[in-house]
Amino acid sequence: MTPPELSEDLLSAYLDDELDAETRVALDERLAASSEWRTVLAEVRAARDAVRALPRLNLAPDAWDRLVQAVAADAPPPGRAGPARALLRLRRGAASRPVRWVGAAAAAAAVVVAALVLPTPARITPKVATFNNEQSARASVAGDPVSALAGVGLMHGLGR
Amino acid sequence: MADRVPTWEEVARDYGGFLYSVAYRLAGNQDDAQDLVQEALIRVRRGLERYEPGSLEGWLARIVTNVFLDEVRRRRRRPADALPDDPGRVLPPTPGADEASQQLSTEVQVALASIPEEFRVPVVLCDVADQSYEHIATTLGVPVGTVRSRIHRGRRLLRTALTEEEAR
Repeated sequence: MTPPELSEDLLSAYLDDELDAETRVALDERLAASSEWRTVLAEVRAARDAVRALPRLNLAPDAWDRLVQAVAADAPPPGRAGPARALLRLRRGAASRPVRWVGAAAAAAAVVVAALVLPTPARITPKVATFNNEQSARASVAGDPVSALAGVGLMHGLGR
Repeated sequence: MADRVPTWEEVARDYGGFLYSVAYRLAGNQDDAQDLVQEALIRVRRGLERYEPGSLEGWLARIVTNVFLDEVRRRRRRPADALPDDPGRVLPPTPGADEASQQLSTEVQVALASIPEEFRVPVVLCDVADQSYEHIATTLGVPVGTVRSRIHRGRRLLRTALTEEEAR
């Protein structure tokens, strides 16, 4: 059987017990024969042990309470996925970005709705210009003094 | 808790220290670690119904790692918000630890923060979050062989950084 090809990368996996039995045996043999590999193994073991010896950390209770309250207040009900967001940084007093985003979206939506719902001069039936022309024509034929004023009204701002 | 899906409040209560430790070792400072935990808990709350009882720590490690990597990518797009590369900003609070061990922890944390995140993330997932190479590979979306070489390279870089720290 061909022995497995060995690379130095395997030394960390050797320490972490992440090798199959065959590779492990082959690496044991290489380590027995090579002081250079033993030195590398000792170095990565020292680094690994140093990180593993780092203490478990925790937030101060008051900071943790604030964080949990922020999560409870900010997150939507379970099951409603929201857009990926930038980090909140609530503890620094900055307004949360989602709230600002919702406000801007609501303002934009209001503008769109207003544009769709409110009547514009082009949508008024009958159009003022058409009405004016018709009334002026009628007045010129029938001599109706009230209808004759329609054109005057347009001239002084009703059509603006 | 192993037989049922926990509430997010239970996750926060029982795994807060785990989440914060992993976040701190990834980010290298208290402020960013706090942000990472907050965003991770929001994702936990949203995703709990998809969680299948099993390795809760593995699931949480994946979430907080994804939050960290998302933030790294976001800050790369906006260099003004870049993560601090001043290792001196790292201030690991270690209540109860004696002065010598606290000094050692600080040196290790500074060294850890100095290695590129490409190597730091798998090292933290392996040595802080205690995840298997296979789980780390799934979390990072890379082959197990890549995880193996990154962990090894990360540890060698860490060893070099620690040696340089000692020499100062």
